[in-house]
Amino acid sequence: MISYEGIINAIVVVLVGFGAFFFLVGTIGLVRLPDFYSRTHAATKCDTLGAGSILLALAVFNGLEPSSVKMIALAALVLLSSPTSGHALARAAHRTGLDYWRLDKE
Amino acid sequence: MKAAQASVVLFAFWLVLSGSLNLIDLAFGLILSVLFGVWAAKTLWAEDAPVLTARQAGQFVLYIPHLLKNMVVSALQVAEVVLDPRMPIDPIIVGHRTPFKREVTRVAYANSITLTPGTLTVDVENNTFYIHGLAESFTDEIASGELEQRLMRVFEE
Repeated sequence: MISYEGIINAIVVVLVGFGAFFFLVGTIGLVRLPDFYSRTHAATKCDTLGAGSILLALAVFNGLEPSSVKMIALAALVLLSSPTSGHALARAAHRTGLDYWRLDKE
Repeated sequence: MKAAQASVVLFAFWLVLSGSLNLIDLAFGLILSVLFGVWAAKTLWAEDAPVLTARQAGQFVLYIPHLLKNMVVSALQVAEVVLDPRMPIDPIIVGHRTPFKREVTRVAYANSITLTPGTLTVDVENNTFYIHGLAESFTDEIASGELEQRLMRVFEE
């Protein structure tokens, strides 16, 4: 017997696991990648997806309520602000003349 | 027109945040949305407002699933690179010229590039976008101009 609640909980667990995995990967990337620009890749892409999927999980867990819509709105905000802040950082670095890491420079 | 559109969006946002249908809450929301809508139209959007026609708004809604798919692919791509012990990257910065006429298209393009697999917008000068790619194969995707045409359809046609 599979209950409705069981299905909801399963979806939530999968989404939270997915999000946590990407946060972990983003953090490992932040440590492992060689320079500022490539680290920004890890920080913007993985964290956007991680935060988005965890917020989506919270909305699903919460059910059909106004606060769930708030969580979706938060996910949309992260989707907009994360690449924007990543770009602001990269632009500042570029304008101050920071060179990027190349394979042949090692 | 600009003020009206801004007010409608702000009021919808108020409804979500307040989550109540009290008369007082609604009245407050309405007054604030109109005030801020007028202010935004006058100051923030004085020149080139990011207002969409109905058809463009429809195109924009169709663009969102495409963007979400790209986001998942790009996060997986980073995961693959990061978790590979050899870490196969060969970064490159390329310049890419675009024919955009509106500010809103440039913003959407820059953000879309950042969420596209392996690429990151580093700088924008007029219509030239400087893009950092984790490898040349990723920036080739941008150079093909497919994303650019898609955004032209959404915002400029």
